[in-house]
Amino acid sequence: MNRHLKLLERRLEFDQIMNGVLLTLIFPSLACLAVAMPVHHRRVFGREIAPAGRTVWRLLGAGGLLAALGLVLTSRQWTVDLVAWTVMLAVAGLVLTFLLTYVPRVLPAVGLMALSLAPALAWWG
Amino acid sequence: MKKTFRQSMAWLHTWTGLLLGWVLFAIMVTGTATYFRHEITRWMQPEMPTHAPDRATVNAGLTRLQEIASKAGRWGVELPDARSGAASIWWQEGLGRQGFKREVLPALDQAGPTPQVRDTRGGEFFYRFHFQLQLPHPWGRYLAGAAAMFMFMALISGIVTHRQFFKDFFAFRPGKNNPRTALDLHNVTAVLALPFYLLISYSALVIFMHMYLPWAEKVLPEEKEAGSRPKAAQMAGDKASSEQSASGVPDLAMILRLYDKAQSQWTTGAGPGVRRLEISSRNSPEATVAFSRFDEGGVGMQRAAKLEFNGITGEAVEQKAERKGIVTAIHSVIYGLHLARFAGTGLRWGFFFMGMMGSVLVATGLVLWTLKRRNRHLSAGRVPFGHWLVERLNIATITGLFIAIGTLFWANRLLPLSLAGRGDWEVDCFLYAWGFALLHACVRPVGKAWREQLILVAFLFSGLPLLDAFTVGTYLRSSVRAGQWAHEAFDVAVLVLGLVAWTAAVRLAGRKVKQSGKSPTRPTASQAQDEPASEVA
Repeated sequence: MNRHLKLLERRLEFDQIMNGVLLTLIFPSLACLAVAMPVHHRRVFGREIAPAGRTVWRLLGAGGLLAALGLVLTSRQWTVDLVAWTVMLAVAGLVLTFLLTYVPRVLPAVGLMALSLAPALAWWG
Repeated sequence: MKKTFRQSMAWLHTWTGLLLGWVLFAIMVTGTATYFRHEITRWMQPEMPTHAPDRATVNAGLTRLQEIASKAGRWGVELPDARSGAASIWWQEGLGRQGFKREVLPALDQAGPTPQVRDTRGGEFFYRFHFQLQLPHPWGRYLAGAAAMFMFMALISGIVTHRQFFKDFFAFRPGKNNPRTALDLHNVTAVLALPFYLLISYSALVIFMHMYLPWAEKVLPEEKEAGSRPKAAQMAGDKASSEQSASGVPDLAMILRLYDKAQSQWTTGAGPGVRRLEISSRNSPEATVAFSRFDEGGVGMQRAAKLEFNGITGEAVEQKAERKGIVTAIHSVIYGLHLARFAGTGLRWGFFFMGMMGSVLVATGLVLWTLKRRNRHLSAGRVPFGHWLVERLNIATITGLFIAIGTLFWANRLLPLSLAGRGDWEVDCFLYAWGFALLHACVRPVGKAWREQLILVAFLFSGLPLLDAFTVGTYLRSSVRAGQWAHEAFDVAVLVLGLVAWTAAVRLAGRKVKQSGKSPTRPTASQAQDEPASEVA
């Protein structure tokens, strides 16, 4: 395997890691935004949401999305990663929708797991 | 006309969505497959060897060209990227397209005769179908353009019509015998990937802008002349001079030296190296050797970087710097976003999922049209022809297309390798299967037609991995050993699609039972109340 191929592979690996970090940041953020909505909050936590809680969840969710966006904009190939950000938004949203439908109770666990994976992936990369 | 803005938008959404919805669905599905067009080609041509994009491959390509096309005026060697796998060579003798020939380079490390690579369109079929729809030349593109325009209109009017979905964000309520479920699926798939749909329909129009709006070029004739290259004249020159000076042919050792030079110049900056080399005017003193580079990353479509050398002396030829305006830059980004060539594996799968979501969006939209009207017609006691037609076309398009695609893949494995025009036969199988699906949908009752076709789709798709293992098992094993997972990923993907079809068939069966318990003539007032008034278009 020559040097050129290795470089190519290295670049592809870098892409994968960025996608992974984005997904693990965006999924929990969207989950926060979802539980800020009374309907979904009830299904996930089994109780009504307090008005203050709504604001907190919303801020967390929006903050997470913005953090991921910030990460994208500081990236070397930010144009591609900006596209990746929107793509991962859709993928995470679809996963979230089906989790909310069929297994709403596991959402906090899945969200936390994803969130803890994000720095691990970033460090590994 | 319609009373309020939202009502008129709902009307627009309903009818723009319906009118070309079937065409749009076919475009969406084949376009989604096109994201993996090289991988599909590799699956459909398992005999295809793999090469590294390096000096040895270039050398082998040139040697092969020397053997089979020593007289040709133009030569080319195309090196593979990580996705396409095999290097190919091409050459041109004389003028026009007839003189142009291309072949895949045999494997380098293998002794003995190389296996015959089967004739197939591969992933190219999906790519071409995506915007030409197997129609004669301009019409397929015009139809695809009309579909893109309608999709864009349906999206904008849909945002106004289904404003509700912001309240129902992330909401999916599965249920049986309920248009609400289809509506939820329609909303969820629409809202989550909305930027993707807007982009994909708009950029489709931009890509063929020159075809759909040809008048600009008539107003600005000089612009067009500047862009076109005097290719024909250049090649005619080749022909004329080919007899007089056979001595001026660039020799292989020098071409390889030039390759090293180009490769090292590009790869020193940690960038990608040479992708293709082209030798033109080979038999004349004006012979040139040109190298172009792999994509350098970034979203926009860019003309690949180029290095050109004099074919006789080996001196570098100065490249004219191209001036790019802001409009060109925007066009290249929009074009690049549509083709998504920049996407790595992960992002490519992301795009693939969004394409699938788009297909579900169109399919649920089409089905919703019938679900909303069905009870009304049933209670009235007679189903009008228009409704009958839409129901049948829905079946023939949604499941019929997948039957056709499944048949294409089966034909790829089962048609004899020696069959003349094998690639065309595969496409014929695709079209016949689709025709059969339409016929079947017309003669069977609606519920049964859906179920039977879904079962056929499930059988075709989930059977593919098995067929693959039986017919080309040796290639399957060798690709696993080589650590190339595209082949396996294809098998897994079709298996998953097959299982989805099974699930849908089973669920549909359950629904049928519940429905028959009810009186079909009873008006479903409760359902109508469930829906927001605006949704009843």
